[in-house]
Amino acid sequence: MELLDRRENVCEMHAESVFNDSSRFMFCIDKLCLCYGNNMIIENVSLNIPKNSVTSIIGPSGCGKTSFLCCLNRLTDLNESCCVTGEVKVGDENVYSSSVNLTEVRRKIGMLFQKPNLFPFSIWRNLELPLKHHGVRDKEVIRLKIQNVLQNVGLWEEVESRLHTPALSLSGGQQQRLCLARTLILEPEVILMDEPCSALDPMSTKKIEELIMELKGNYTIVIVTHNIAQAKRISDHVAFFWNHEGKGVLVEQGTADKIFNYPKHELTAAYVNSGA
Amino acid sequence: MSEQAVRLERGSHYDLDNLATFIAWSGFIVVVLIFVWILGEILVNGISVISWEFLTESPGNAGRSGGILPILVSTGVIVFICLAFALPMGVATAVYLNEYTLKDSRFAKFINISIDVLAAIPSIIYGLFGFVFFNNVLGFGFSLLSGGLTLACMVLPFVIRASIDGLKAVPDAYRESSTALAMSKSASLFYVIIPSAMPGIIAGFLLGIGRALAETAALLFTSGYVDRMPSGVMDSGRALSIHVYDLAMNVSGGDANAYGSAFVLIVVLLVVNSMAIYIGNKIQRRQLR
Amino acid sequence: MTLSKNSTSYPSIADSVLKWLLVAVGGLSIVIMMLITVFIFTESISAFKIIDIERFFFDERWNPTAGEFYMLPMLVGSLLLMAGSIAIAVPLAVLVAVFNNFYAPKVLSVACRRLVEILAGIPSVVYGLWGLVTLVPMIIMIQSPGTSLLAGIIVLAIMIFPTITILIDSAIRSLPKHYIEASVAIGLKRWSTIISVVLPALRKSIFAGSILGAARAIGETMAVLMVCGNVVQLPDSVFEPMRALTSNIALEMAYAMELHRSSLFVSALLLLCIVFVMMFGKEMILRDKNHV
Repeated sequence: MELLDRRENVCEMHAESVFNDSSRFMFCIDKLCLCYGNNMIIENVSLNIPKNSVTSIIGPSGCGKTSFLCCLNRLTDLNESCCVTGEVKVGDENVYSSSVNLTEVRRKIGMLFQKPNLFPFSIWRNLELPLKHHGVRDKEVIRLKIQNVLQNVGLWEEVESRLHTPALSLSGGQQQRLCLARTLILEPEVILMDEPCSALDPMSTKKIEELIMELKGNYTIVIVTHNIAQAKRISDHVAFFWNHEGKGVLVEQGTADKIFNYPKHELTAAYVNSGA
Repeated sequence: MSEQAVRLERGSHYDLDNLATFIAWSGFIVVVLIFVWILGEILVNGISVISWEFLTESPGNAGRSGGILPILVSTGVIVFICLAFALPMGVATAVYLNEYTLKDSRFAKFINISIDVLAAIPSIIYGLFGFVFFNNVLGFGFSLLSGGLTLACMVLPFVIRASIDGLKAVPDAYRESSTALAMSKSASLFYVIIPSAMPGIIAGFLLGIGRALAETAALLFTSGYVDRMPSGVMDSGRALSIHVYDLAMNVSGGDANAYGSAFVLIVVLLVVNSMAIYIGNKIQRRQLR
Repeated sequence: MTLSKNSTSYPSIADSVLKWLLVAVGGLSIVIMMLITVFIFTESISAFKIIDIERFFFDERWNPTAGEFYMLPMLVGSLLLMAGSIAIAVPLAVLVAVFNNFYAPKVLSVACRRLVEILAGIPSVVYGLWGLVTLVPMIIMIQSPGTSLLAGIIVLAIMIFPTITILIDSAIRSLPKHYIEASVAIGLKRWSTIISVVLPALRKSIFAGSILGAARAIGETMAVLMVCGNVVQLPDSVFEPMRALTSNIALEMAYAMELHRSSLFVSALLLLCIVFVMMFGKEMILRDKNHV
């Protein structure tokens, strides 16, 4: 308990020091709580996520990392027993206000899941479908965009000749990169990644990590990962979550250097050193 | 002494076990034989009647001679009308129940109960209902339309259940990713979820055809008896199953053509139902994986 | 940039319209259920207004055009048909389901399962045809007139057998594997396993299957109409002809007028009540879910 009291101090100090400089941040999250029915999953998380950088969310299983990610693009709406309080601001707009244009918010915030979850259609159709639903009708534009994103994720050479074969016939790593392409094709500003490499072999993992490093100049990336080594390799900022009496809480946050080399909190120190 | 008792006991167990094996096998064989007998008799007696003329001529002499063309047409129209209503309604209800409501919502529970009730109501009661509601209240009279609509009510619960099975087999990942791609709920339904649930919907469609084709009692007072070629959906017409019934019961000397019509009915049903069963099993296996 | 401008081209209005459309269509099955009960009920009301209920049980005969409404023989007939067919079909279904799961070689059990599923879809009029042309002459060899309660029971039993078998078979398959493993582990033979472990665990499924079969049997019209002889009487033996409630409706509805007509709707209402009571009873018993 003592440990966790100190946590708040750490966070507050940090939040205060950067509060004025809001244009630097993609997300400003304030006192976010998430409940499923009567179970509180995430309690009182306040966190600012900087633009055009990689922010890793780390922590043990069941501390609400994935749920936290789902709060950012309101994927929590899919579960009707889910209830969110607090604020998630993207720019000046609160994602949870009733006036928000949800389509636009979700277009702006792409998401990559733990397992590649392509639709059971062709590669082409998987990429074309989201585009069409955002009003792109011109065939030539669609073709160019598809080629462009496939090149960006390094898939173009591999699938050029079989764009119309079922997407599910690709290998796991290819599928995950296609998922990334599908996210990129909507020209998002943010990409949320929920343990994107946990179902992949080391080679595919390496490719995805390289892609993340390439993308971070133009996109804000928030990635949940169990792999501390991975977090060390790719992240600029780190937020450390912990499971406290069944609820997910934010223990400490800061630059990767701070968290990994000079953690202020004992729990953080124990966790980041356990995997190394 | 006690050792001997144990051995005896075990011995009698072995005998019982063998007897049981014998009973199980003979039960199975008897059942198979009975059904081979029934189906065999209909098929063997029926196939001798089947000819091109039988399928393309009008019945003559109350059905004793001639063919069954107008009856096939009426049956086709009735089944078409039935599915034209039951399929969209069934899929829509299934989508509503599976994609829009929580399990414990009152309205959803009430719909589920009504589906169970509809599935349990005997077909003759559907016939009476159709007779009162479609024939008289709505004024369709004895017509293919009111027959088809009556069957649509009857088939609806089966289409709904098959479609729900299909929707349940669609992984939640599809719903998540289409939402994350900022597709609206309706767009993700029409372009992702319903296409992925197609096997279940097709199974429901085939099941519906099978049910509609097999039904007789519900059509007695709704689509009517007349065996001439129907002039339109508001005209009365005779379904294949009613033709079988009429030839067997009311026309002496109509047995041969009754077998012929039953043959056609069974063959079509076997094809439709085996397809439905095949698809249904595929869905189940996919769900288990 | 083209993207963000057009990204609102699917406004949430479409979503809410669709939702309300689906609510409306979903409600339709409730409406149909209501319509059916209401129409059957209102049509039979005029009979209840004029005829005392006990007359359905104590009139001399069934002759509605002459003002006699003795419905009891048909009710009893329907119940006898139901009881008889269940008595034959349920044990047979249990036997075949057990065979399928514990005795049949893999290939045979798959084939048997498909066969039973296909048989469940054979129309009743076909069973009726077979009963009329084949079964009835066989019964005549024992005792005339052949069209009889017995013929009805046999045809119905054959008809409802597949439905019951499918239900029990899937119940056996969903039994937890460890039930069977445990009983084999304590050295029970196959037969003892079935008798002392499997069948007790299946009690409720067998019951549910029986109700389902019974509901189909009592609601069946065509097969019964074709093989039972349709004489309105309380049958003294299984070889006597009789008439079921359903056949009565099918036979007389075409020309029934006024009071006759509403008395037929009374018999439909009776049928509906019996089926509802059975379904309700099944729900009640299955509700407490300790078993499959």
